Amino acid sequence: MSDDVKVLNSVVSLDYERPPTRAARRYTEAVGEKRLIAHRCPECERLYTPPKGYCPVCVVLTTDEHEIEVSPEGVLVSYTVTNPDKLHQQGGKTSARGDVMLDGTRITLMGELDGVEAADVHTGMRMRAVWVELEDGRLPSSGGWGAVGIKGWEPTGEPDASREEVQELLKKAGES
Amino acid sequence: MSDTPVPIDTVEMPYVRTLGPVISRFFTGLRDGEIWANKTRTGKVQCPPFEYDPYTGESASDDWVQLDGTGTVSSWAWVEEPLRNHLLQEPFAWCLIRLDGADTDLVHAVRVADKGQMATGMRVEARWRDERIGHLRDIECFEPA
Ligand SMILES: [Zn+2]
Repeated sequence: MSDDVKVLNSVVSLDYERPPTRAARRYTEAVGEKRLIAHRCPECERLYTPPKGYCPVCVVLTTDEHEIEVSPEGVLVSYTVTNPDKLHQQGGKTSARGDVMLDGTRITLMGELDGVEAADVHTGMRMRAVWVELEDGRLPSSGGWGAVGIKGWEPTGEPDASREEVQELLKKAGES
Repeated sequence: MSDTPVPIDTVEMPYVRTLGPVISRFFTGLRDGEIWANKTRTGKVQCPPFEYDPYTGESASDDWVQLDGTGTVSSWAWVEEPLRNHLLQEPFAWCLIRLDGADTDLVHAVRVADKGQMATGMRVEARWRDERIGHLRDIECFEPA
């Protein structure tokens, strides 16, 4: 019969309890001020945001003295458009997610692209962070996806980076 | 900030499962406020219904029977601190419930005011939700009958 119940809709979820490290607390405080901080590894100069408190490549600790502020703006270097299917993403809308390479860094952060139609998304767009609002000084759960403290990215409205500039950025990222 | 409570990050994803004809019939019944059980070829009444008889491996028969929402607790475990996705947000008992007319047990939650009221062999009845969607949660819980 057509109105029989044919599927079970459920949610698979896992709760992680993570005591925040000092680096994570500093990062959260910065997000509350709409600033983005990173740690620069003293040996290889790689940048990490959110800071981990160590560089996993060099196996050295990083602390407040390695903290620097990075730009919450950058260039869209990659994206994907999601068209929800009827069965698995009921109520979902066509949306785009992308990788933004932060200005002056090799860091790419992934997130939902806001304020732009999926059909108009293209690499080279200048984007800025859409911040998460803190709840009681704490970051709300992100659902486990995307950059911590950043809801997504929206166009700044500035002129695009050229194709050559995007290629340069990607090459730079590949070297890191 | 050393006394800050430990934040909890939840990672979750939707999980959609097709039910197949047997469980579909069971869930459709639940949506309509009815509990249906199926019979094995040896005549055992299974609730929840299965596609097969776990004792023989044979397919279940197409014989279905409707049960009342009353039964007896065969076993129970007390949950003092419910998790956020538990059926009840107050202390409750996970139970194996032998519904009247069934030969197998159904796992569900039993609500009692106090743990001292819980006992193996106690009589319980289903409390239905007003809004049902075709899910085991259409029965909010069982309560002492
Ligand atoms: Zn390093």
